[in-house]
Amino acid sequence: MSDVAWIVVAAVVKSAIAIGALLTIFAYMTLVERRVIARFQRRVGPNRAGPLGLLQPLADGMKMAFKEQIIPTKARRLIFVLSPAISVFVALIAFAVVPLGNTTTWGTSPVAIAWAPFIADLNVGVLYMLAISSLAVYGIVLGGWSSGNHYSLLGALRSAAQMVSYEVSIGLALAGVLMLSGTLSMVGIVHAQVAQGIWFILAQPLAFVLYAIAATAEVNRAPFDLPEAEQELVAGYLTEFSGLRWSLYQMAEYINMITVSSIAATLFFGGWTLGGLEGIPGMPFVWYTIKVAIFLFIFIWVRATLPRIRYDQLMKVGWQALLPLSIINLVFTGLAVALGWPWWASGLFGLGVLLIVAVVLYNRLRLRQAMERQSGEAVPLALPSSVRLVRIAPATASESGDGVVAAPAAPAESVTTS
Amino acid sequence: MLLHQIAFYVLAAVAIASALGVISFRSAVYSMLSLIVNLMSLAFFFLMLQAIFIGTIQVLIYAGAVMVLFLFVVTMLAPDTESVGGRNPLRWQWGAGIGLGIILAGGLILAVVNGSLARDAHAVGADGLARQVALHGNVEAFGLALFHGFSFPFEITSVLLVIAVLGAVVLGRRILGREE
Repeated sequence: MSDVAWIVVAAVVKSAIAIGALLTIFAYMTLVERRVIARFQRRVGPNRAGPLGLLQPLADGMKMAFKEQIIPTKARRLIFVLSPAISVFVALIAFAVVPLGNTTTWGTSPVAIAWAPFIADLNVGVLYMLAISSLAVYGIVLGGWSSGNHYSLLGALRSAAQMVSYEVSIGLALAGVLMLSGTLSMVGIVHAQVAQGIWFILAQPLAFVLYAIAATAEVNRAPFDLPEAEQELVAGYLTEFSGLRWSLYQMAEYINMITVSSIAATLFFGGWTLGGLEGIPGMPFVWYTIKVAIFLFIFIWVRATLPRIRYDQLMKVGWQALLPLSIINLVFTGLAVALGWPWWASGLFGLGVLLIVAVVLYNRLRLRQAMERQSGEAVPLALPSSVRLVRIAPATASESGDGVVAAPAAPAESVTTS
Repeated sequence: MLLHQIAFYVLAAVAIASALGVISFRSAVYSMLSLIVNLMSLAFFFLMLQAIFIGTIQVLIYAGAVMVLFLFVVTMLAPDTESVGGRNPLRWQWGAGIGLGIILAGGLILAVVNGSLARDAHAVGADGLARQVALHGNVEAFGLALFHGFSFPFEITSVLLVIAVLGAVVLGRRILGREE
């Protein structure tokens, strides 16, 4: 066979392996997540299907495959059917540029490179990822819109606003790393870390923290899962989807988690490297997998720990905290690179900014606690004008002594905050 | 280069069909989806010309950012106006559109068939850029051209964008003030 044919075969085989692996990891991520969340909540979790519940994903898959896929009468059929597929398609192709193993020891002939452990080494790798992930919002918005349901539409709108807001911070946070590495190629960024002898987390701690927060918002995970907030929106854009279409959306969410974890591991933690241990054959892939697994576990951990934030808080964090901080980081990193300062200059700067932010947040918390202690009641939060808190007057001693539940006979005092 | 040609004709057909869809769909959302397909096929044209950077930016900026905002506004502001029906209030637009369209099509056909325009207009920048791409790579060549060769237009563009943002803020504020 000619070289071109071999390159095509290599690309097809590697893509097939990657898709199969991603879908398997997705299936087992659902199981791991349920088991781990159960542990966090002192439950057992699914453990019936097979040993340790290992066949649970299979059972779930069978169940989903045989469920009725309802299409609401008011839905726009074509778009309703297409949008889950758009979500999964976009999630899968974003993974193409992630380097999974040692790329320095590969040969230089076109056929040898074709079998290297990445599907494509694009000259614009990081931009490609950002471009593809910016398309992810279509699957959700179109799905919500085409359902013909107000809850779905609200979830879709929230998702659009959220993803557009946080994409800006992601791009600016990653730009610091790109300046240090001098390339946009994902393979090249790992090579730059090998050449400079550091992981970029050391030089860009601020950028990593900003990326971690923004990426969680970008994949709509808790505490940023407002598009599917069940207390407010039933299930947001997912409300009308059932059966396999619903699981396609789940699939897209988990694959997106794997992808943003891979970006974090590649850009900030040296991808497949581990302080010289990547020389052992076969181990680079293991290091890469361990790093991604740690990030995935943190995703679950955060979901089990933090409550969902309010919509106005979401917008405030995105535009008033993450964006200015990422611009500060960008400007300082640019200065450091232009003046040829060593890597620890931007590292110390990033840590300093993080420390200042932590001190400011801590002081605000203490201030609120002090005010609460002084006034003996909760300090009114700054709520948007549409939110009203209704405070019911506490029951008097005689009423509670009689064992009567405090009836709302006392006029409910409406507290409106501005 | 047969594959190349097939890809070109398929893409061209998709681009033209989606462009027609933009102006012929009655529903704003479908019209906008056609525009997204059109922008994506333009991105593929850039990829076919080895301009990976421009193709990616086309997807990132137009399909990923601008059209998402369009979709946001369209779905939020006009969820019930499925189709714009009734009599066209601006009949004269038909005539003007057809006239201008014929002029544009004629000019393009002349340029393609004649070919003298392309020969006369020395593609200085493109020629130099192609050499730079071969030398440094796609992104590097683009960056060098943008920040060394064309830095003044680049900066002027950013001033223009700042003015646009300020204009949006001023307009938005005036509308809010009227409501109160």
